[in-house]
Formats: sequence, C-alpha cells, structure tokens
Amino acid sequence: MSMQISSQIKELFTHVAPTFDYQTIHLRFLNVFKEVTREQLDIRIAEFLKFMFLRSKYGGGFIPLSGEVDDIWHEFILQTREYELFCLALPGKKFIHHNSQHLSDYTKDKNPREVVTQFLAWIPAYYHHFGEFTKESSEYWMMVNYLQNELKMSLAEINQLGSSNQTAITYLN
Amino acid sequence: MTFEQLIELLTSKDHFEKLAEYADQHRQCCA
Repeated sequence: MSMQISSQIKELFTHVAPTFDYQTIHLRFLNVFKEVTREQLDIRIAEFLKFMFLRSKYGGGFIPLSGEVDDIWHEFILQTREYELFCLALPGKKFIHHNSQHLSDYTKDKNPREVVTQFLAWIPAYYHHFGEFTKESSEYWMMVNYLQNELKMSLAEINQLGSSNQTAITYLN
Repeated sequence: MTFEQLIELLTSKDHFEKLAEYADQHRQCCA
C-alpha cells in the first residue's frame, strides 16, 4: 500500500482543520488499517473528517455513522495529543467527546419529532459543505442507508432532499 | 416527499420504532 496521502484526503484535512498537521495520524491510519483496501480506507477517512466537521460546526445531537468510520475515530482518540489538536483546529475549536450509544437509549425521554428532525437535518448540512452523497460515501451514513433501504428512496432523491432544504440546517443549532 | 412530510412519516410510531431498531442493529455511533 502506498504511504502517500491522496490529494482528496489532503484537501479534506486542510478544509476541515486547516491548522492541523495531519501527516502523522494519516500514516498511523495506513499502518493500523492494513486489512482495508486503500480505496476503502480513503473513503472511511473522508467520511470521518466530514462527520467531525459537521459535529464541530453544528454542535450536539445524534449523527449516526457506521462502525467502520467509528473505528477510524477510535484510533484517532487513542493518540490523545494529536486528537486534541485536531479538535481545536475544527470550526467549533472545542474537544469532541466520543459516545457509543444506541439510538433506543438516546431517544429515551426525547420527543420523537425532535430526534427525527436532528437525524434528517444534517443531510442538507452535509450537502451544503461537501456536495452530493455518492454510492461509496453513502454506505457509511445510517440515515441515508435507512432512507434507501426502508423507504426505497434513490440517492438522487436523497441528494435532492439535501439541496432543496438548506433552511433545515438551522434545526441543528 | 418534502422534508416536512419525511419528518411526519418517520415520527409515526411504527416508523420510529423501526428506525431505532435499524440504528441499533447497524452498530451506530454518535457524538
């Protein structure tokens, strides 16, 4: 596997955390996730970076992402100093805690409408900052999977939902 | 389907329970 950082990941790191020196953590990802193809690993790192950007910019709430992307997060958190520097370089400039939580636990004592609105509102936010979901990127986002698999929405319809509901981003604040 | 219609649909009891079950089954994580 090439140890060179791809231009896409380089651009994303620079976009989401402009002052963070990403070389060391990127090399660690390559060494730790050797069982994953380089193409898949780049997608997972990319979706992780997008997730962290959105979480930092828009604050709390439940943005569910897949276990494969969560693994990237786990590895990053273990490098405590670098992880802290990364968080501080994100738009919110605050440390982001990790919380493994089932949705059913999260929704206890919460209004379903509020939860669903939060679940959907980051789709326009994602679209606004990073453009359309692709077949490859969408598989790491639970809500997009759910809309595709359970409601039979196409990716084009989901991207349309993202592009035509930009005001919904305010629900995240 | 509009954004509002989607919220209404997913908030209905059957859909909301199904969504929670789906999320729990797919090892989701959040911040």
